[in-house]
Amino acid sequence: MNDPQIDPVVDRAVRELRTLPPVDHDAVSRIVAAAAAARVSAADEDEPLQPRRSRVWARTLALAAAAAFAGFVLRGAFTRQQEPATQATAAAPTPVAVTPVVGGDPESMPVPTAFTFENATASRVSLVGDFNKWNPGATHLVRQPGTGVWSVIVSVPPGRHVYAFMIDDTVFTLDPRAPKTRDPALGVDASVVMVGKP
Amino acid sequence: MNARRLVPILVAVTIARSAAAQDSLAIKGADRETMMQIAQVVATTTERGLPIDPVIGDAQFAALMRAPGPRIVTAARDAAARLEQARDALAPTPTPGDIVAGADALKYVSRETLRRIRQARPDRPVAVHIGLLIQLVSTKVSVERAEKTVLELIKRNAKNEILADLGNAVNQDIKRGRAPDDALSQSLNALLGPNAAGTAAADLTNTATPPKKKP
Repeated sequence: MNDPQIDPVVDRAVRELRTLPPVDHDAVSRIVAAAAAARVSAADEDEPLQPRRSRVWARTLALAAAAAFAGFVLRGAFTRQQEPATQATAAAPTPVAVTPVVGGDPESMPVPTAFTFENATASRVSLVGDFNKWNPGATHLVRQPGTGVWSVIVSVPPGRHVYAFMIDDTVFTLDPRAPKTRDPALGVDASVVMVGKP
Repeated sequence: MNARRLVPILVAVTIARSAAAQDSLAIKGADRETMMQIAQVVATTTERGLPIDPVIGDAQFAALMRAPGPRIVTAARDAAARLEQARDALAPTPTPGDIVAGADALKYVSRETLRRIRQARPDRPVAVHIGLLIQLVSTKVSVERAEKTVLELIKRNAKNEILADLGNAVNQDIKRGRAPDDALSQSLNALLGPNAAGTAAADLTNTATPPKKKP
């Protein structure tokens, strides 16, 4: 520490810190006695398993919290990924992935299908159907500028599909251009289309 | 790895899965209790290796129609049950699309009808064929004639687009006021052409009994 490059003030401080104060043995004895007297229950005794269990449950809770956080983050990320896709479709009608339920066979590949609806007064029109689990927030139609024509192209699995439009998120409306069919379970009408052409 | 170390991992995985699943189970218009019951139905359906979209879809459709909670749950349970029956009827190798279409068809036809369609087309997807069957039956064409039509089209190896066009044409004709049987005959003649129409239309317009199940 006598290095001439070290600042003399720093050198002095180091030397002061290295000088230990004298130990007061009576004070140490008093502190130990007080600590022994304060041990009032068996729970204060050392128990090898207890800290380990605590650590296990602490890890469990930490993992659970992390997992829940990850789940909600993933959920949020998934939702955020979908919304822009739908909005992007709203900007330019292109096929929307709607979680098709299909196998790997070419005959089962989703078919881009156009849906069109006319309503000059609606401020928002969405497509609901069995291909998007009747989710009103899944597929929004795009209004063609200067007209009351709304449209969207959706990739749907080949087969028969029932659907409808939701106007302004509240009014369930059939497609006036398409045939309708009645759901035998609920007794409610919906529009119907068969898709098969790639 | 011992059981004590597995517990936290299993808890974490379960919580993560349930948190992530909340999004797909969001049934608009359903209360918390209804949601929980639907989640159970969905979990069971998943465990059985069946597609869950029709379960959620039917529940959401019921909710959109402002059905009460128990009715929404019933819709989900019924959908799950039909999926299982459809998979059995379309065994041994139904695609997910086949199962979904088959489950929808079971609202209108029996499992026996689905089995006969599978027997006629054992190794290819049948979702569109079943879709046509539903389309015809739901427009009041008799089940027997609808089944006979679909089986004949399978025999002729009709493509998906023909089946879809036929289904759409029949429905459009009915919408314009034509009787269902007439609409089917007309559409068959139009789609299968003048050469085929003589045989196909003659075959398919007869409402004969469906073929017997093979022993």
